[in-house]
Amino acid sequence: MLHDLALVAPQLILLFAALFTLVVDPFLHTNTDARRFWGWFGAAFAALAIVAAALLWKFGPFEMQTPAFAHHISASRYSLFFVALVSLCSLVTHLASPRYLVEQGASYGEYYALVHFATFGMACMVAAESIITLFMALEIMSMSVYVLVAFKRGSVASVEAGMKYFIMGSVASALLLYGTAFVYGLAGSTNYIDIGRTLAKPIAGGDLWLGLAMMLVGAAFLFKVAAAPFHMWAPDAYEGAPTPITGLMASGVKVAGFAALLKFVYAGMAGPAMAAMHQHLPHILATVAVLSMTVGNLLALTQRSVKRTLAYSSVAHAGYILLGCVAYVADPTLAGYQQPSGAVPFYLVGYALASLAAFAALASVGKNGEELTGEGQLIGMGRRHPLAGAVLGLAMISLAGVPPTLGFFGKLQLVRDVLGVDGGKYLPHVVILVLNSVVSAYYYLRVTVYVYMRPEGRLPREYVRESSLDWAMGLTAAGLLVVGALPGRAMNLGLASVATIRTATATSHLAYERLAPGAQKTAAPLAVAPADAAAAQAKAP
Amino acid sequence: MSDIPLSEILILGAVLFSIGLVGVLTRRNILVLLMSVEVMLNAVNVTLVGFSRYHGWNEGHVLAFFIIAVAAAEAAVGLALVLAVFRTKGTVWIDELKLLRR
Repeated sequence: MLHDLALVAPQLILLFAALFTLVVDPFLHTNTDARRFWGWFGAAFAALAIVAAALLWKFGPFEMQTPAFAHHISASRYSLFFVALVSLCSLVTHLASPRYLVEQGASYGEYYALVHFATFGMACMVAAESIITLFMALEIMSMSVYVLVAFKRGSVASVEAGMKYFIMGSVASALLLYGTAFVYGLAGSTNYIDIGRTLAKPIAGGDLWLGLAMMLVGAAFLFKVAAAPFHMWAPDAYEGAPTPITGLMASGVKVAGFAALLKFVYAGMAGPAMAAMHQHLPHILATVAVLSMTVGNLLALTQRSVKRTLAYSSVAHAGYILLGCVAYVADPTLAGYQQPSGAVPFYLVGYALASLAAFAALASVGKNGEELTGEGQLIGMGRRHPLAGAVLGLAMISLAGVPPTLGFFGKLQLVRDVLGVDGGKYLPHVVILVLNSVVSAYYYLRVTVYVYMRPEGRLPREYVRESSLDWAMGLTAAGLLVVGALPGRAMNLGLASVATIRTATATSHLAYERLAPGAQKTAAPLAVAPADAAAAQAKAP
Repeated sequence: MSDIPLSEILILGAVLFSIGLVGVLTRRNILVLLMSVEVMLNAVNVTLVGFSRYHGWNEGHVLAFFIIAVAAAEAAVGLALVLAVFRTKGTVWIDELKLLRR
């Protein structure tokens, strides 16, 4: 049995990096230009967190969830997978930031500390095992991001974006809390597994309250991932935020939001007595998904600022991923439930890499306190700054889901898994998804047309060059191409990660079987104690 | 004290939460918006403590304490943002923040 601290080693590394930056930075009597080294420092620590997560994955017994700190946080392959992914987002953000901040006149050390704090919040969120941890982690992440969005203090757009995001975000937090308060009231515990066990027994009149609670929690999560009815803040916040932070919001915040949502719904709400929930939840998710992808894509068509286009594109992608989530919440008594789906983690990898690549490329455009991210301002980028132009083009192609890139395989896997649910009940939704992809290709390719094919204007434009920025673009582009060329390994990792929360679900599932024998069709594992049953489940392929 | 039924605590929480939510949706002064959010968070605290007493196990109290701490941090960040907005735009009315709405 590993010590509790070892189980959260990646999170501790991120926290240490944040505190170290915060404490040491005031003592450095250097000019703002020299603070760029914090970018390399931050990237190194993010890389260290990824290595720690990889080592834990390799050597730890994490096919099961291993709880730490009195079951408030856990290490499992699920959490490790997403910890590594959000650390990667942090790494690229750190590399993309320094030059941009100097150009925008906002090169302060707190920026890098806040990026670490935000990543720490995300890493705890995906590992959260109780409502208390979930809430604290969510707030650590959100509050860091509010400040980061408004980080260009002198810029009206940045401050305005931060203010709007803050107000909407704190309302979402309050909704989440009110929802979880009812979950706590019904279950009498804040621990996911306990909640799952208690709610597996039918509670008189509990369906209504649970429905209300899940509505509130769902609204809050949809807000955090910028899905359709709650996406109003996204375009403003994405456009006003410093470009590397927009990249972090589009990748890390969204990844953490989806990972935490899946875990909460999956571990807490999966008992068979939730049949009413499981009848409605997939439909609600699928409807929201279709709404989100359609609204996002249609609004993206009319935008002229690339950052704003990508904001609406992120709304659309939230829709695609939500449709993928249907495969996880479908009725557990159905056969489709037995086939785990690795589509959502895999898709999130592709989406995060493409967003990071796009925003890293856009971060190279701003100069002397100006962000030049209108489409017309990108003309000639492909010739003047070949690397940024190529990376932006590649990111667009991947977001559109064109074959050689990772985006295509993510979408393919997602569509396959959703079609497998419930005998193809969601075929209409998948058709809408494909149509939406076609629509989205228009505005993604429009960006590449501006980058490569428009005649250059009279004003010659220079682009900022910085080795760390080149690294950020190179890394993400290489990720898109290499993982896109060999998707099997990443897909298996995603599948293995999801398998661990499925095991936890099976535990609460079987606990219910013991409480009410004969209530369900499968009678075989009745006599098995939950722990043994879970172990058996883990060994099963 | 001990004979206040759970339902009444929950109703108090629901009323407070609604007041906060309506405040956020209708008021236009950023400072009042921040106050409304605080009311919502405190409504959650009332609900949690009520449930906690009902269950006879103080996990809800613990969460309520965390919420109080986070609400304080949120107020600090919120007021800092209000200050930044006032310095750049000279206003505390949310309607006048429309640079980004195109």
